[in-house]
Amino acid sequence: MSDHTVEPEFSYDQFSRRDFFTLVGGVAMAGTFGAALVGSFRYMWPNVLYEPPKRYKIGPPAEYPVGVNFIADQRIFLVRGVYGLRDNEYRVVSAICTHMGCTPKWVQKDDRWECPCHGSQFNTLGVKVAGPAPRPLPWYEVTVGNDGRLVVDQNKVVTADYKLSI
Amino acid sequence: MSRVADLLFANRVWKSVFRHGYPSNPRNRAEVMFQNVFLHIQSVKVFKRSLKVSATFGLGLILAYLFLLLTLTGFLLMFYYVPEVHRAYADMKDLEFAVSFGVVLRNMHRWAAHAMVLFTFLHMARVFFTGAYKAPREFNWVIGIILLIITLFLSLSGYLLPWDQLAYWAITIVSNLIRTTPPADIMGAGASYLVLGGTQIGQNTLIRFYVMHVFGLPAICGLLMVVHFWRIRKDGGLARPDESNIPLR
Amino acid sequence: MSTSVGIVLAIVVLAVIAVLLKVKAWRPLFLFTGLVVFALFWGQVVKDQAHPYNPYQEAYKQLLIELAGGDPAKVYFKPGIVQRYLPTLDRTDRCETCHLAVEDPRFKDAPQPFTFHPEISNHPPDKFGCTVCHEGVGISVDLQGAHGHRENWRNPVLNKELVQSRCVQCHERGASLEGGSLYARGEILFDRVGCLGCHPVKGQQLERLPGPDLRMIPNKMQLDWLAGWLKDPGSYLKKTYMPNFGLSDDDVKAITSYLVASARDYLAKQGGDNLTGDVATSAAKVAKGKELVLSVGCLGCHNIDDATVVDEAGLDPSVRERNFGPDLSRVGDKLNGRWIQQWVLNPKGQDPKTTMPDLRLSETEAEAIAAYLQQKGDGTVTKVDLAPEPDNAALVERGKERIEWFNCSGCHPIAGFEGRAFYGPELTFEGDKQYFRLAFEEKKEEMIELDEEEGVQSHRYVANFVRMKLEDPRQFQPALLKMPDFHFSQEEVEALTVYVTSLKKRVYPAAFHVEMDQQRQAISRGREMFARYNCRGCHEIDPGAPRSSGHLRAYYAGEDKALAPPVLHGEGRKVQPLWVQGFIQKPITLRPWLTVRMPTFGLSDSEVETLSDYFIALEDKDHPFYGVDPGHLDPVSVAKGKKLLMSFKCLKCHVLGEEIPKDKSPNELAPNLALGKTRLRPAWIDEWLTDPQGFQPGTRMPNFFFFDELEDENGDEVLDANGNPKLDYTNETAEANFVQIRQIRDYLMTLNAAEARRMWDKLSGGAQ
Repeated sequence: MSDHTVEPEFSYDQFSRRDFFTLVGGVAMAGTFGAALVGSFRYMWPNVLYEPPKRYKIGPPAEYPVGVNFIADQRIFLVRGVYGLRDNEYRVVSAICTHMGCTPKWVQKDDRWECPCHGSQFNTLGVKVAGPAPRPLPWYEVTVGNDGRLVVDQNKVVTADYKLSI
Repeated sequence: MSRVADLLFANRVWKSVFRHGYPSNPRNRAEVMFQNVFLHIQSVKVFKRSLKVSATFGLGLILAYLFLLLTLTGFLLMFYYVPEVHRAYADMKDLEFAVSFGVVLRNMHRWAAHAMVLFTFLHMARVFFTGAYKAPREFNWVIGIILLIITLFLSLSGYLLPWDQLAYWAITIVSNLIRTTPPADIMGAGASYLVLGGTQIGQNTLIRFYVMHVFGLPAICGLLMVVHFWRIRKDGGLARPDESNIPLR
Repeated sequence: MSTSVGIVLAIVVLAVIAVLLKVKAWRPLFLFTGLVVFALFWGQVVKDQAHPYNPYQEAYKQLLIELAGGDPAKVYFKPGIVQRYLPTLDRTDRCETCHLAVEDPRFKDAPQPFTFHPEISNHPPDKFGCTVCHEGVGISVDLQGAHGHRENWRNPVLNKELVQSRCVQCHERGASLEGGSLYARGEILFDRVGCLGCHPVKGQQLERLPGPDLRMIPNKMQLDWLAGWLKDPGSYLKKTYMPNFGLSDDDVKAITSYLVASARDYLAKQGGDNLTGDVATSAAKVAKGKELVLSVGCLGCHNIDDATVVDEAGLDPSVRERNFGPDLSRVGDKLNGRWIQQWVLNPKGQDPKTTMPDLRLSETEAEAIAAYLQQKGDGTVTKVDLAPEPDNAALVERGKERIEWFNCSGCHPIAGFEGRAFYGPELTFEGDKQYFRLAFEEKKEEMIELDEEEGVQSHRYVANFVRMKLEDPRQFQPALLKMPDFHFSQEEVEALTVYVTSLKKRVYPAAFHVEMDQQRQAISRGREMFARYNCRGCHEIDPGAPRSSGHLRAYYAGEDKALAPPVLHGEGRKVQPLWVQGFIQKPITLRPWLTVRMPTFGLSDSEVETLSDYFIALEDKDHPFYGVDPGHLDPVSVAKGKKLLMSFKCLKCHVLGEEIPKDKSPNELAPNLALGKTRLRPAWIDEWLTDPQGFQPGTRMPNFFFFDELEDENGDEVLDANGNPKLDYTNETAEANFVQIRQIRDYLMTLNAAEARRMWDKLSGGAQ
């Protein structure tokens, strides 16, 4: 109401009950909008996904023989007991070529994966040794689930020296 | 304090956005209203009588807020709802079961829609009983009637979207009503064919109702609301008793 | 939700009141509403975390920690919705949000919702989810909602056995599936009871009417027996399929009058003999008749109280429950003796469509049987005093109306109703019936009250409707409904409920449909035949069939087992298909020492083929390649085979040719070797001679050839699945054995009737 040059000093006397009500009411409204904003943000964060799960179960460890096992449903290789692993040790590597997404084939006699599409080759560490593939094959975390079956988590890419010991 | 105020308000950025100074004098306060797209809808000056709650009970304003609320919640709901006959029901249930705050958003949308119909009637009753539809406000009354119809259409089109039994049979009833438009075998059948996008309720119906619900009707509604508000200003603010009896302040 | 709405409404009302009362305290109102809305919004934020499944997940986590020895760090558990998304089936199942341990065998005996789901022949949840079989609402995550116990939801989760009704969504009907025994029972019952007589089901039809031909009544029946039977069939035959129609005395009189009048005219037109009255009887005849009834095989299908059931445990309870043919214990109260004589002599002559086979009895045998059966009866049958009045035209006319009303001709051939049936509701898609079409009528209110108490919606569920209908068919509207009471047992009700609710449209994509291969089809059709003609009453076969077989064998104890009809396990492997076909059409004496007879069923060619295909399919054998051309056999090998046969003294037990050695008891006899050429598959002879005891444990055929035990690298014996040592079939001993086995086989393949006759004469001549 008054000119801003003659603004009065603040005092508790002048902070009336009216002002208090206005202030608290205003804060409550702001809090409400805050809740609405938080809620809206949380709302946009999906809880369920309509896509193949990235973390999935495969069979129990004993089901897979020593060597390189191809698991077709999930397109992964399960390596057990070879190339620096003991019989009770497991590793999982993606079976999707990093070049164009074909499925590389395990060639036992040469100890390497060969992609049938454009000839990329990956050694036992998943590292490209020939062909156009831009990146090594990723290794995934594999653990033992509560029910004793192996659980692969593709969200967790690990280094080639990762191994699961049972 | 004044220096702080100057720092905040007396610079180019503030001026370029708000184009007026700190509203500490009458001129600036008037400027606030003039220069702001959201506020200029209000008159610079209003009749004191119009400020009384009992003049309008704020019903029109409540309607405007409900429309805003419906737009916002509807906007959010569209992120999870797909108008496809195999998915629609499941998506609606997903909001209930699997999406955080999905239930509260859907319920807000639903209750606000119900409230909007209710308040539209209350608003029109107020206008009617205060004689606010009389000259020179006849045109705005007509716009109000159209807005009422659009509100009802919005409710109806939204009713089909959950794609449950209730929705299906409600729209069956409505399409049967449409079918009776005389002459029934030409107009009625044609109109029903147009509305349903076929002879029975199916994917065509769902997408028609959806597009009308989320775009067609709200767009027309918003446009007419703008005209509605503009007419209030142009018709001299809120209606009041004969001006000869009450002095202007 | 409703509380929030209530609060908002309260605010609105308060605001309106405040305005109306011209409240000036706007700021307190602002404060108040501001705080309320604030509380509501933040309340929602908190409430959003309170999922209905939280308590279950918490409990599951505790169980996991317990199993991990109390160490929470060893347990991986991420709370939240567990979802199986199956795009190909258009399904999203969240059942495992609470049923968390369905794949964890450690939870085998845990209480629900944490019970382990045993795997059912390759239906992994990864591929099939849950609701494909179990129904319910896959996307729901609260108890009532997920189980479908909600208003307007008509597919509740299926309890236990009812799940079997879902198999046929993908599998073909008639394929006896693992875990589908109740469904299979329902399928047989549905056909056997004659549901199709009144309820049409598209794609299904009755092969023959399930009830007997009623056009023979005046010849066949003692007419005073009829009324008591119609009023309450259970009073005469406890296990009959004839249901109780709850007829009034007037109805009974009218119906019997019509039946007698129409049948009399029919028979007059047919011009047959009058068969009323009994046959001449004598004590000797009755005794002979009794001996015949108890020995020729009547007991395979019929019960009679003179028969002593030796091996009670061997009888299938479902057979004990209802017999294939009627119980004969009181048949003398029902049938005319002279008619019985004609009937057993040639059943098809009386009723061309009957399944009763011809036992090839002589006139005198038939007369003896009639003499025996006509005196079976104690006169205790309720003879209701409602004698039919076939000459009362009004009554006959009324009888015709009532027969039409109750659709008697749906199950029985009745003169004047040929080819006519008056159908009840169609059941083709009964399982899909909308709940508002379920006519609970007078029961509805009662059921709704009960449902409200128990928190379910059973009055909306088809299965419940069907079950109640089967239990007490007219309870919904006693005055109007006409479905009769079959007095189903609890198990029969469940089986039929499973079957009827399985009658639904198939909703899953064609890629999930499992068609039976040729072998399974052959088995399925064969089982149907075995059930239709009750072959299973006498012959034991096919342990995988939904119901057991070989019941007649229960009447033969201990040593006498050798006198029972032969077991048919491995039949398809053993005999040549053409021989089987010929044998079924026209049985020949195979085991001359048996008194029980293989009857002539008068089957069509295709039916016979079905049976021989069934035997073959059961043994996983190919059809046509079985024969050996005697002309191509090595004469040396044949000659050696003959020598071996003699040196092994095969003919000590085996019969050769038609004659039975008189000095031997049936227990010591073995089948006629002369039939081997036309009857047996050569390959079977090889297998059989190699190891008869392993082939059919307990057979009286001794092992003639001995093989060395198989050894592994360490010189240890190798055991098979049963713990018996495995034999070496490749070493030199084995080679030598096989040469001899082939020689015997070659000889048997050349052994024709003339040669057998010569051998036999020589042998018996030599013996004398």
